[in-house]
Amino acid sequence: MIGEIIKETCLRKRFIPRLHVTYVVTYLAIYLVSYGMHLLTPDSSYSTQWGLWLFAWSGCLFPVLLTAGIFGNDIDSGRMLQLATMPVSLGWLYTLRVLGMFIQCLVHLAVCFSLIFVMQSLTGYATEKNLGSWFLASLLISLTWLTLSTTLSTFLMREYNVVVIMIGSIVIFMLLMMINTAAALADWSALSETATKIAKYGIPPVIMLFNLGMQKCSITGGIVAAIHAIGIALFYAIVGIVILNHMEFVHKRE
Amino acid sequence: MCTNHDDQTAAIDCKQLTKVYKSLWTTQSQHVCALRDVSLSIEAGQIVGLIGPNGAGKTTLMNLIAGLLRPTSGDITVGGFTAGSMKAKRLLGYMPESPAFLEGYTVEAMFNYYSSLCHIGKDGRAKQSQELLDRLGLHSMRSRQCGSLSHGMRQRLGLAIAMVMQPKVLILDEPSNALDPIGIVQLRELVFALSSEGTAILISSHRLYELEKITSTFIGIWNGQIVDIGKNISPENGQLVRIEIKNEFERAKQLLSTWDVVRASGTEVILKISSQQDIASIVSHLTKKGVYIKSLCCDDESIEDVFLRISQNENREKEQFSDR
Repeated sequence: MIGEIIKETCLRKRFIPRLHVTYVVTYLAIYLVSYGMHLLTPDSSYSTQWGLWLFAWSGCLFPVLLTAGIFGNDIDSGRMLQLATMPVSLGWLYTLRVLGMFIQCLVHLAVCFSLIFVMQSLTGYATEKNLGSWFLASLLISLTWLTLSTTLSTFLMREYNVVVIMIGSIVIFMLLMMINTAAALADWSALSETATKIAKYGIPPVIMLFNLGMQKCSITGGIVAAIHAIGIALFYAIVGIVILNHMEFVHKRE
Repeated sequence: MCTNHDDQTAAIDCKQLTKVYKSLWTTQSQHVCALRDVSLSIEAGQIVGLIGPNGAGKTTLMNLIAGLLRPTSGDITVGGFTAGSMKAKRLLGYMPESPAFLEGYTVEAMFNYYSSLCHIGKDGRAKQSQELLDRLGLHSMRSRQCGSLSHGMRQRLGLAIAMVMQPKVLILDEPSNALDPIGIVQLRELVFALSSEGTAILISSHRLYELEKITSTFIGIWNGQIVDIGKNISPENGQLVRIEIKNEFERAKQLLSTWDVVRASGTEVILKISSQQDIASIVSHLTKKGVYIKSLCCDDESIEDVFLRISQNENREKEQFSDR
């Protein structure tokens, strides 16, 4: 059963296997283009932070795309009616689906980081020492995005979980900017601090894990960031499982 | 009778079941009471047809038994276990009205996926998929993607998935929708075979003639309440006479209005008679007035006739209630 559910997370939509391939090909293409530009203009001070690039695109965006309609599609199409009558608990189904997507993220990150590492070793261009810490940070951030998006998918129909995360991230980012600006102008440092703390701890801890990737924090700080990321992922997962277990499933009629 | 509550352990047992659909955005007056105080009991091996007009509460009742909905009040047990519990789910097979599948999966992969959810090992899965897909005429379709299946084929696959666990209780919501005649025959044979193995089967359908071929036990739901169909088709309600009129249909209708007319449509009038002597007097009454009869046959009341009669009574009661 575990294998089938994990396989389902990869094969449930035709775009998911294509997404895996597209990402790798795109990274390779961008690396080669960037390397080509470097060869053409060797004197330019242009440099690429590949760790940060992978953290943003593979650690933050990729897991959200993987979860597109993970439960929302099932509920909307009526597939959930048969799934929910099977002798498997919905909490277990949730856990296995997240596990399946996390394994995909793990494989994806391993492939992409290895690709960049090999390219850097071969070309000697834009070499980066802390790819390992970026890998860990990317893996942890992907887990939090996965659980957040999966939980949203339990009550948002179709692929709206992805839309809400995209728009929500932009809105939160803009709100934080506005609060910080307002706080600087009106001396509301307490408000600014609270908002920053919410952003730092309440939503996927992008800032904490960014610092981990950049190796800007101590080992203890890194461990705290990792525990915090796992804890918040666990919190999102519990919320999702509770919602699923309290839901009633009815197929909407046309 | 299946509609009466029985205290013995039953395959399906509902006690004073009420379901009210509420939402955060609706006021109390906008809440919809889909089922009201429904009690029923279905024994192992029994095949029961669930009938009622659209929106009467049939699917709600089935979803409650399947554990997809929670009752507002009342209790439901499946094989003695609370509906929706893991033990109840292990006994249950459910086929929704419009089964949906992962479009990119093949028929066999989809079947195997659900088999694995039922904790069936690889060997068991292969054997079962061979057997069930063959039985439902899906063998040649096993490598076809679910996205390219016709509606009828989807119904067959939905049925195969509902039977993955060899359930003790099978709930089929409109299973014959979009099925071709071969599919309908296969469905019927399957239902009989399962019933003989002791599976309790609850089928909802609007194809009453088809349903009548499968079972003679019916539960009627009108406006969220159980209507005793057993009472409605009992012999004391009389025999039916179907008369096909050759000419002057409107006149014939008038002449026959002194009898209990069940239905008059097209060139056919269906009457309820209390004795065989009535036939002679009907024939002589019509022929004397110049109305010719093309054909006449005596029939037991079909479930469709009962359905229409109950619907007429319910509508009449509703109208009377609203007039008051």
